[in-house]
Parts: sequence; structure tokens; C-alpha cells
Amino acid sequence: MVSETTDESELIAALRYGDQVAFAELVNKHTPALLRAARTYVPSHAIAEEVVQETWIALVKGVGKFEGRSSLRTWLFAVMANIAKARGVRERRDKEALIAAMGPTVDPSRFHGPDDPRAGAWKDPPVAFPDSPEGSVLGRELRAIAQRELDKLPSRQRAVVTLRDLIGVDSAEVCELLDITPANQRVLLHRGRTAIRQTLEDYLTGRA
Amino acid sequence: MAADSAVPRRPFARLRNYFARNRPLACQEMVELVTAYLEDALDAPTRSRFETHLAGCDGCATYLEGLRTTVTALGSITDEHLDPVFLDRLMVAFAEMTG
Repeated sequence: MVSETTDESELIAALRYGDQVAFAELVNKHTPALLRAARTYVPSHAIAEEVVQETWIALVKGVGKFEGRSSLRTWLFAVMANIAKARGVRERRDKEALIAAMGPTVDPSRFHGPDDPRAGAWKDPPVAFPDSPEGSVLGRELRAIAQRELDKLPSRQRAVVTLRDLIGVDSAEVCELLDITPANQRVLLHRGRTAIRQTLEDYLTGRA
Repeated sequence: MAADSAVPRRPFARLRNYFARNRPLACQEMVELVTAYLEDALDAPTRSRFETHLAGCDGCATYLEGLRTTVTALGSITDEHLDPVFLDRLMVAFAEMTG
């Protein structure tokens, strides 16, 4: 971790002198995650590429002022988010977030009803997921299904799950990037993850 | 004000609250708390009720484990390789800016 930061500050220093190799290295390292994140803000891959290109231009222009108080990645994501938002992010987002917060995430029919002495306990308990080490056939299948389901999530849930679970951005940073409260971030993460979990369970039960 | 609080209007309110706070969680409530649990965002009493339930409930333990597997599956989605055409475009933009 420490050496990574050191390497990066050397690359940034080289970038100040217009070093093309340093630029290419930084681009290779950060662009895939930036594109993935940008794609959650804008409606097409082409627009995501434009947003990411503008982000890199902003870095090259502003690199003299980049003080390294935040990590480069944090800086890039924040700039990318601003550019994407200026590009007209879908407007119904807040409404969507509210809608997303309603209703249970697990089908109520899987629990005993209120008249039962076991009210609220599992009637149809979840199936255990078999071991699926990374690289195994099942692991690859689950990954593919998770990816497909992720693409179907409402945009704000998709944005939070992508940033948290695919890119590994921490919750405080996600709140800042998406202008949401910690509670809302948690709700969106919860709904997104549980929807994907359900799809994986459906797949595993259908398969058995 | 002091006199009011000395004579509670609902004599068993504190006791009732105590039981409400310590009532066991139902599975149906557990499944809505899993993310907050994994995020370490539950207050101490709720966390303790969550863990008590979890220790005695196979269904909820399985559910939580499945959610962890889901997060692992999501984390294993690797970034696509950077499109060389796009990389070229960025390098051209860079060359134009730095002259």
C-alpha cells in the first residue's frame, strides 16, 4: 500500500513534466474502474468514455495544483462524478431512491404469517450456497449471474453496489460521490445486494 | 416538570420499553438488518440481539453466508481490459495538451 502511493506520487511528479509514459501508466491503472463508475451515471458507454476523457484532461491541466492530500483515485472519482453530473444525470434519481427504500427485500411468503405462533420465522429457509472458490466453474457462473443482475438494478442501487463491491470505494467516499446520506447509502447497498443474492439463490435452487 | 416525571403516566412504560428493546428479533427482521450488521452500523443493543438470533438460527446464518458469497462474487467481477482505441484517444489528447 505504501509503495503503491509512493509509485503514484512519482508518476504524478513525472506527469507535471509532460511525461507520456507516466500518463499511460496512470491511465491504464485507473481508467477501467473510472469507466465502470461513470457508466452508472450516464446512459451509454460512449458518454462514459467522454466523461472519463474529460476527467484525464482535467488532471493534466490541474496536475500542477494537485497536492496529493487525497489519493489520486479519490480525486479522479470526485472529478469524474462532477463531470458526469454536469452531463445531465437521470433526473428521477431521488424519487427512485425513495421508492427503493420501500417494501421488504425478502418475499414475505417465505416467513410464517402473523397468525402463526412462529410469526416472522423462516417457513421456506434459504438454501446454502455451495463452496464456489474463485476460478471454479460454479464461481464463474455465480459471477456471470451477479453481473447480469447488477446491470438490471435501478441506477442508484447499481451505482452504490458498483462503487462498493466491484471497485472497493469505502462508504464515506460513496456518500460524497453520490451526494447521499450514510443511511441512504446503506439502504441502496442493502437492496442491491439482496436482489442479487436472491437471483443467485434462484439459480442454485433451479439447478439442484 | 420534576413532579410530572416523578409520577409516570404510564406506570409500566419503562418495563415495556425494556422488553421491547430486548425482545428477540424475528427472521423477517433479521434479513432487513444484515447489511447494517455487515457495515457495523447497528447500535450495540440491536447488534447483540442480532448476534443472539444468528447463533441459534440456521436459516439466518445461511442467509448471511449467502449474502457474503454474493459480495465475493461481485468483487470477483474484473474490469474489462482497457480498449486500445480508447487508450489511443487519451494519448492523442495528452499529446495535444502537452504539445
